Amino acid sequence: MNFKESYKQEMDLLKKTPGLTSKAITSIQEKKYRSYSAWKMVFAAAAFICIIGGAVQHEKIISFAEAIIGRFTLSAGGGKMEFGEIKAVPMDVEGFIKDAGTKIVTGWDDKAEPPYSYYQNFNSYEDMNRVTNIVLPCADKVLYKEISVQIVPENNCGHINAQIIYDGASYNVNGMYTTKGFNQDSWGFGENNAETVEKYKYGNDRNASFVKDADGHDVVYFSEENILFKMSFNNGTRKQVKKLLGLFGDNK
Amino acid sequence: MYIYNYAEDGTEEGGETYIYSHAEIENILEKYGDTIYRAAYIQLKSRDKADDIYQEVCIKLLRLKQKIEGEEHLKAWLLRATIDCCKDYWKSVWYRKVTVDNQMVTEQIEEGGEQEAGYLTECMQQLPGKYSAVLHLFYYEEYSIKEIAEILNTKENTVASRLSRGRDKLKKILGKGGNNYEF
Repeated sequence: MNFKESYKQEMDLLKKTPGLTSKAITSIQEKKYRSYSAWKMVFAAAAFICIIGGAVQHEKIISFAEAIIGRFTLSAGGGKMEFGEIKAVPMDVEGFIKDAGTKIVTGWDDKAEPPYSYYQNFNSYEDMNRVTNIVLPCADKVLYKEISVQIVPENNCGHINAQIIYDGASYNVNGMYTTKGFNQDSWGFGENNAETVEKYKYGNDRNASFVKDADGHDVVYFSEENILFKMSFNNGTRKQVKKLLGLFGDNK
Repeated sequence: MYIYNYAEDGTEEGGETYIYSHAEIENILEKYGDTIYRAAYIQLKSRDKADDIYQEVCIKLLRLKQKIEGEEHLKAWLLRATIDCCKDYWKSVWYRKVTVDNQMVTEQIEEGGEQEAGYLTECMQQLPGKYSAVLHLFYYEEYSIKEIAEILNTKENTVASRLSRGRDKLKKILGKGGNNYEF
């Protein structure tokens, strides 16, 4: 068999995601519009703010959701949203690393650099829960797929990624958790030039923050089961996300 | 072949004039969209990430300071921008500290998740980015070592070395699956 011919045949079948070009062009147009009208917008915004006296808050922010010794917070335009106290996940880290074997994160040069990061993938929530002791919100009511758990033992924290299927929509979540001994000053999610769209309360006074990132992607930050989640919902609506958060809140 | 530079920081200033019109960008993306997408997918092993890289490249195209003359030059520039975006992704703090990593995604694909790529694509994706980039440009895009060196902005010797080592690594991966391909 000839590699070149076989590889070409495979590659020819790979097409870009349908609608990607129009999405990219829309994104470009939005950026173009923002660029052309930037100064006009500054004056307009200043006038608008004067008129309404700051009644409406749409902040251009560098948002950074992080675990600062003991608490999860989301920095947003100089203010902070509190997501509550962090409790370590009762994870058997040594056992997890042993099972992970050689699954260490590497990069472009195939080099792993300290602090070393180990990962495992799981076919089901039950498998993941059995190995890590990590609990995901409403696992009996929503479907979790494609679950990956990553840990940086040196820093006593890690990430869990999964897809949530609920009410006809799917969401990708990236959750940050800590293990016993966590004492990092700052460990978190970064968003440059993000825009806070809505600060939202659900359940029994629980906080969530809807953010539009620099590329116009919709994300929401919230904390459940001692995990700080960043969830993208490009395939769902804010209304659907609120329904999901409501489900999480009602479960308390 | 001369590869045009693009504005690295891409700062947007009020009143900036973009060199390509909407229709021109649409035409370029229609023509080379799959080329960009394939190069990104081979590197990042994930459709979502390839989608993101595609958009990044589109923005870089928008911010070009001068039009690129000649179809071959344009294609080469798009490939260079794509691979640079992939490298930036690998180096990013987001990747190292936060995001689901490339290997995790690959493993999921192997474990029966959504996967539309063929066997050889999967094998290529197991290689470190610096090897898969060179192999993809050589075997799929059919660039010479000299041309790849210009696209990647590196020395021809480096490309030749990566091509050789990458091929050896790929042969081992293919061998594990009991497949012997002629290169």
